Order: sequence, then C-alpha cells, then structure tokens
Amino acid sequence: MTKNKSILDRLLFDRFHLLERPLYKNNLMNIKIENRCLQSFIFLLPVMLFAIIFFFIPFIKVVYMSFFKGAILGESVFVSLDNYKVLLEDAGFWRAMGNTLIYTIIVTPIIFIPAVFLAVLLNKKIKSVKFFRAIYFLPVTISFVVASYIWNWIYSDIYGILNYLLRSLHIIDNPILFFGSTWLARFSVSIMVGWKTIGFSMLIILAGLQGIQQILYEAASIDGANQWQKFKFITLPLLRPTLTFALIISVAGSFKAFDHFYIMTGGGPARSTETIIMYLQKIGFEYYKLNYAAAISVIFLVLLLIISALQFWAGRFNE
Amino acid sequence: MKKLCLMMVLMLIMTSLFFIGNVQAEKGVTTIRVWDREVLMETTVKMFNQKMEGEGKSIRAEFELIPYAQQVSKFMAALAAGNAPDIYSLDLIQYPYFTSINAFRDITEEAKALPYFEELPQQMLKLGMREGRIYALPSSIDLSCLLWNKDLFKEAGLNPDKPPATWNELVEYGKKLTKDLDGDGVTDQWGFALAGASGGAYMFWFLPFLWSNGGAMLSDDGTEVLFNSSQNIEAVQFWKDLVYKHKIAPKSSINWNSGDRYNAFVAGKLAMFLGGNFNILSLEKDAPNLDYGITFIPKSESGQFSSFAGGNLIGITTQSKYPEATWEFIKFYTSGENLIEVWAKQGVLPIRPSLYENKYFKIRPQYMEFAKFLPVARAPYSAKYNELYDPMQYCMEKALLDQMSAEDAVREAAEKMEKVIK
Amino acid sequence: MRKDRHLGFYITNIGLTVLFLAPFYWALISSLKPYNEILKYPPSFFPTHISIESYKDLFTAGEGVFVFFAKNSLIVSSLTIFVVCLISIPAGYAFSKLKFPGINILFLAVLSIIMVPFQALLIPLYTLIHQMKLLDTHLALILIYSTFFMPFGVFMMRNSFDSIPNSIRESALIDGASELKVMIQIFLPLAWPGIVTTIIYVFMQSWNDFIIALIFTSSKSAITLQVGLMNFATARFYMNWGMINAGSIIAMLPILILFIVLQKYFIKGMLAGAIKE
Repeated sequence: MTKNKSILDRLLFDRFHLLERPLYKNNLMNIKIENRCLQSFIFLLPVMLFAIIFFFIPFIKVVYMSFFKGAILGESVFVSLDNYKVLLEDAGFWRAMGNTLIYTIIVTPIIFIPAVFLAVLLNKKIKSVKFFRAIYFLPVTISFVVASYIWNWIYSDIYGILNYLLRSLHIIDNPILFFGSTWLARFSVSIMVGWKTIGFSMLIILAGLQGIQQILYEAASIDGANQWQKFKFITLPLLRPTLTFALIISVAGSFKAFDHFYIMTGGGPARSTETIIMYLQKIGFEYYKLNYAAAISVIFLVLLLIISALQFWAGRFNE
Repeated sequence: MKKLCLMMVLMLIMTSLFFIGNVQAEKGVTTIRVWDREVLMETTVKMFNQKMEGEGKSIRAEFELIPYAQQVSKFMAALAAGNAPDIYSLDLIQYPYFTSINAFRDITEEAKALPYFEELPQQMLKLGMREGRIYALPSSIDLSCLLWNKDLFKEAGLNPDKPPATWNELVEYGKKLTKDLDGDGVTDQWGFALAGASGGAYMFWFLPFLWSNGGAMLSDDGTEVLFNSSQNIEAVQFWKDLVYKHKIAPKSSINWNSGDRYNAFVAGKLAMFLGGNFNILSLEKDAPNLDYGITFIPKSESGQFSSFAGGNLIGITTQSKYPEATWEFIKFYTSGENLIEVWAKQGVLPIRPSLYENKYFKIRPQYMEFAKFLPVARAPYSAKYNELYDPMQYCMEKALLDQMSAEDAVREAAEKMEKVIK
Repeated sequence: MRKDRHLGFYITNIGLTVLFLAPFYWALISSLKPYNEILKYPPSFFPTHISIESYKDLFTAGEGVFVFFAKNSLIVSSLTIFVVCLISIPAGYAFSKLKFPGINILFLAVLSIIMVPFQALLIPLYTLIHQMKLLDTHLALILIYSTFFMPFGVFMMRNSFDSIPNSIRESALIDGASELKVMIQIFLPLAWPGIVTTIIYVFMQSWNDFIIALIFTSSKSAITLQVGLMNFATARFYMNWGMINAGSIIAMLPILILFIVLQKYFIKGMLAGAIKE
C-alpha cells in the first residue's frame, strides 16, 4: 500500500528539494553564490515585509493585548490574566463556542456525504463530467453574503418559494419559519452552506479518487466484489488521507463562520446561532472592548490549532 | 521590458493617487465637516452655504452621509484617529456615552441664549446633557406609534375612526381583524404584528408598552436597572398572549423587521402595525389608496399613553477647531427656514413644536398627530446603551418564542442588564 | 448495458444540476419582476413581463451610492491582484531558484500565514491600521488582503517555477543575464498558468470578502460591494426585496463570468489552494 502515494503526499513532498549546492569548482560561481543570497533576499523582501508588518507583529500583539485593558480610548493598563478570568465566566462566550461547535457538527456531514456521493458519481471518463463538475462548483465562487441573501429570499415565510412549494405539495399546512426556532435555524443555514460548499469538497475528494489506481478495482472485480464492497474496502481506506485533509479544511472553515450567520440570523433566535467570530466582532467592534476581544482571539487561535492537530493525528493514526 | 516598465509606472501613479486624500484647496474659507445619517442634511448644507455666501461670510459646510449601521463605529474610529467631524447629527441614544468621553462641546450658554430654547423637547435635550451641561440640541424626531388600516376596520364592522386605545381594545379589535379569507385553514389577514428582529426594534416599540403600564427599564439617570418588575412581566406576557392566547399576531412576526411589517401593511395583510413618522412618506408612494390613521400605542387599562422619543441630536465635537462657524451652522439648522423648507417638506417632524403648523404639514394632517405623542414620549438614558440591546433582544426572543416564561425572561434580562450597567 | 449506465448518470446529474442552479434562477427571476409582482403570493415562476425597475431602484437609491460600492470593490480587488503578483512572483522565484541555507524556514513562515485564520488577528490589525491613519481607506483593505492572499501566490509561483528546468536559467546566466532578467523574460512567460490561477484566486477572495471590509471601512468612499449590499438590505425601516435580488445578481456577476470563462484555472487554483492549506 505504501507504493500508492496519495496526491497530497506527491504535491507536498516530491517538490520539496532541499538545498542544492552546485558542485562547481569555478571561482566565479562561488562568488555568484553570495550574490545569490543578496539577490534572494531582495526578491523576498516585499513578501517578508508584508508578512512581518501585517501578520507576525499582529500575531504577537494580539497575545500581548490580551493582558491589558483600555485600548483605543484611554490608557492601556496591564491586568495580566484578568481578561481570561472574565472569559471563563462569560456566558455569552461559552454560548458562542457551543453554537459554533454544534453548527460544525451539523454542517460537516451535510457537506461531506453529498460531496463524496458526487465525487464518486463524477469519477468517470465521460466528457460531460467537466460540465457537471463546473455546475456543482458554481456556488463556491460567489460570496457568502450573496448566497445568504439568495437563500433568505427562498426561505422567507411570506414570499418564499420554498414555503410555497411545500404547501402546494401539501407537505405542510402553515408556512415554516425557517429561522424561527433554534435547531431549525441552524439547519436552514447549514443547508445553504452545504449548497455553497459541496462543490469544493467534491473537488478535493474527486482528486483523491483519481489517485486510486484502476487496477485495484479490476482485481477486486475478478475476485467477485460488488460495488459496495469495492467502495468499502478499496475506496474508503485509500481515500482516508484526502478525506482527513478535506475535513480539516471544512472544520476550520466552519469554526470561522461569520458572514452567513451575520446576515441570515443575526445570531438569533435568542443568540443560538451567534458564532465565536460573531461574538468576537461584537465585543471588539460594537462594544469596543478591544483587549477583551484580543483574549477571545487568542483562545480561538489555540482552539483551532488543537482541533486541526487532533484531526491530523487521527487521520495519520489509522494508516 | 519597456512596456512592463511603463505599466509599472502607470500603476504606481494610480496607486499614489490614493494617498492623496482630501485636499483642502480653499484658502481663507473655514470649512466645517458635517456628518449625518439622514440624506436630507445635504440639502441643509447646500442652503447654509448659499446663505453664508449671500451674507458674505467665509464659512462653508461639507456634508458626509453616514450609513445607519456605521454611526458609532465610524465616529469611534474618527475620534481615536483625531479627525472627527466638526458637527455630527447622531442618534440621540448614543449621546450619553459620547458625552462621557468628552466628545462633544459644552454649548450650554449658547443654547440657552436661543430664543426658542424653551420649546425644544426636554426629554430629547436631556439625552445630550450631562451634569446639567448641554452638549447637543435635538435635530430630528422619530416617534413610535400605531397605524391602522381604516378599510379593513370597516370590513370587520369596526368604526374606522376609532382605533384601539387600550390593551383590551387591541385584543378585541384584533380578533375581529384576524381572518382566514380563503378558507384554507391558514390565516391570511392579521390584526396585529409584533415588532422584533432587533434590539433597537424592541426598544422603539416594546418599551412604550412597558412604560404605559408603569414599568421601566432604567432609572431616569441610567444608574439603576428597574427591569425586573411585575409591570414589565405583565407587558411581556401581554405580547406573548397576542401570539399564543389571542392569536392576533403571527408567530413569524417575531422575526419580521420593519420592512417586513411595512410590506404586510401595504399589502393589506396586516390591519394594525407598529410604525413611526418615517412611514408616512413611503406610504404615500407605495400605497396611495390606503386609508389609514395614526394613533398612540395602546396603553394598559390603568396606564398612560407612551411613545419612544427617538431621533437625532446635533452637536459640535470637541475636536472641532471652529466654535463660531459651527455654532453658526447649528443656529441655521434650528431656524424655521431650515426646519420647514428642508425637513418638514420631506415629512420630518420639526424639533420646534411651534413650527408644526406649517404649509407642508397642513396638506398632511397625519403629522399633526405626532405633536400629541411628543409630550408623552421618552427615551432611556445610559452610557452603555449599546450593550443593553443584547439582553433585551435575547430575553424578548426567549419569551416570545415560548422558550421561557415571561417572569424568567424578565428576571434574566434584568440580571444581564445589571451586569452591563455595573 | 453501457447505454443504461450512462442514462442513470445523466438523469442523476441533470436532476442535481437543476437543484444546484435553482437558487440562481430564482434570484435572477425575482430581480427582473416588477416590484408588486415580487411580493405577490402565490409567487410566479416566470415574470409576467421583464422589468428592470429593481435595477433602476438599486442604482438610484441613496443618491446613486451603489455605483460607489462597485467602484470600490473593483479598485481594491484590482490593486490587490497587482500587489500580490508584484511581490509573490519574485518571492516564488527566490524560493524556487535562489535558495540559500535557511530559506526553508522563511518559506514555512510564509505558508504559516495560511494556517492562522485572519479573524483571530482582526483586533491587532485594527489598532495597527488606525495608528497608520488608514482606517476607511482602499489602502487598508489592499494591504490586509495582500498579506493574507500572497502566500497562495508564493506557493503557486514557486511550483510553477519549479517545473521549469534549471538548465534554462543556468544557460541564461552564463550568457550574462541577471536573475531579474531571467525571471521576467524567460520564466514569467512560461509560468503564466500559475499567474492566471493566482489572479483568479486573489480576485475571488478579495471580491467576496465581507468581514474585513465590514470592520475596516465605513463610508461610501471605501465600502465594498458585499458590505454595501448588506447596508442596503438593513437600511432603515425599508427592505426592498427586488433591490436585494438585483444587488445580489450584480455582486456575483463578475465572479461568475470569470469562472465560466476560466473554469480550468479556477478549479486548478482551488485545488492547489486547498492543498496548500
């Protein structure tokens, strides 16, 4: 099985050559090596400047800020772990965490199961596959803002087409308030996110599928395996690295959810769909408690890191 | 290679154009920057500039429209960066906070010297005051009220000129106005709708119910939370009953924003709706044939009528370098010329009640009703107002979605509010 | 037997296609209905007559402020693309061909930008931008977008350059060309697929961004289309569904057109984008 390198491995590790030292004995070439260092440095300078000013320094600053109080208006006062202590007892914060977690748990299968299905469906050598692939990918290209408004309009209880269809088919009598109750709101938003993201996950899984060699399936056919057995014993295990990878991205994305909740539910009903980033934005940019928001940012960062690492470890573990 | 260089130079020029911000080219002219969330202020600014030119004064005003959602964030950013506008007409509810951080100039003497100072609405003025000093004057008024569809009243056999005045009457009339018109088992016409979907909506439309029953959210000076009271519980329970017990308001209206309610009213699907003076011009355009009336928000049997005094206050920021020029503008703004020819013309209530009898209002008598609401209207005073939206919305939603009893919701809201105020 | 299998394939896919495209269709149709027909119940599947009044309302509302939103989005996205290309092409070249001891650490450092969600850095970025007095400017957005989208560009360019044999470069150097010349005149033309992919990725990300634009801009001189659309939808007391649908269509049109024309690069780019994470 080790011969069968996953597409992930190939892309990451095969190109990653370590330093190649030219074995020239010519002195001129040796001078060129030093020049190369300087030139390299100049070529890299703009990128490094951006990275340092707008990434690394803020990265350090956010941790630093979380230990203070009073930024923007007024003097900054050192308060050590105070912000974190308040955080532990902040019902709003924990609620936001819970909401984000629940949402992630709901939306991930809504994205993945259809994505796997579609990827398997499109894993054929028919020409029109490219066309359908593009269709399913279309929602990925638009913004979450636009997608949210399109679906708000579909979900509307007064003018919405969905309620109309359901009522015409006599599936329901009264219009459904898609954002009227906690769980329904979560599912309604998740369905929209599913529509929007399935195409993306499908692509990744499709790439993974195409890395599995046909010979394996043919050998299994000879052994008398049926479609489902082939899927279970060949496809799934070989797809595991790709699935893990796609999962990590998807979960990370779900944790960062903001746009669609901001627009579709505003965090409601009763703060049940307010995600951690929404909470962060509220504390930082509506209440202007910047240091407290910095503490929330730090916790968020750590959390995301842990979850991604856990997923990575769990995925590797079963190889 | 040359083409590339040329392109890069062009791009560099384009880029550097963005470094060139506002260049104050005029020398010798004092330019004051005026911010407002109302588009109408631009007309005021134009008229002001014409007047200044006519009087030979070298003061000019410049207008910038601030989107409603960014009123606070933009101002905070500008204050912190040191480039606040000279004049800001801002939602009155934000003033307690901004006066607490010394963002606005003390204009007590100048204000009191105005001949019409006494007629300015006191409850609005209060929001721009701190410790007896005045930092802003009322600039526009928004009052919450009840609108009713006279035609639907007639159809239901109710007197079209007699709207409900009390909670009991609201229920009684509402029941007659809530109908299933096509017999499919689904209500098509509702008597009433709740006003929710945002903390601001609850403040503007629910608080008057609370107030009319004798309850309150905060003490007058904003230091104490008085939310946990039996009167408030009654008011919350009343709203709940409208949906679940009397069934005259759709459950979905909890999620309706002002636009949704307005649309339902215009479409004739809603007989009575909570709105304000800002609906009048839109109704003229969208439903010219709709015969409607305006009245107080119904009060509880033993209570008093109430309304929410919303709107803007206009103040001079402490960062402004032109105290005389800006006062010149404020004087012009509060003059009859501006208030009538610019604002009343477009249906905005003038902040000087003596000007209500103007030619534009004479052709729209609905506006005169608002003169009645103003004396009973009020607004809560708190420097932490922004943080009160959350507890209010959370608990109202929990109660109205029937996830919590009225008592629990009110108690929890009060606890959260206390945490904020503390 | 084969025809049967294909039939199932086509039926399933066409059915799914209808499902996937239905929301787009509904938004488009709703934007082309006359206003009173939009609010009609039961809703009509085809407009009685095509009306562009929603679009007219959209462009005249708030004294034509919508055009500013579009203009701002266009300026910010274009300049971001320019900046990202400008800085990631040399960087990709350096990471690919101009290696020195320790360069891998720098590469990992740049890639780590992708690992960290920018949302966690909004607070310090806000204080930084406001200290630089750049709040509510195009430049603020361009700087932030460039920082967070350039790692993709760097990765893409490095991969593209890697696939060009070193021998071409060495013979050019022996002939006396400078590295810069080699990069621009030889490698760039050969690596244009990577550049196109980068351009598409950066355009999509900056055009569709919401939270960064929301926090760092607030006036019509800088607000982008996504935030502007939200401002319209939450405008005081009046939500016009026709305008919102029209605005949504306009906001997604550029990216959809770009996608349809450049599908191949898009998908390749997204795959590479995912894998780099």
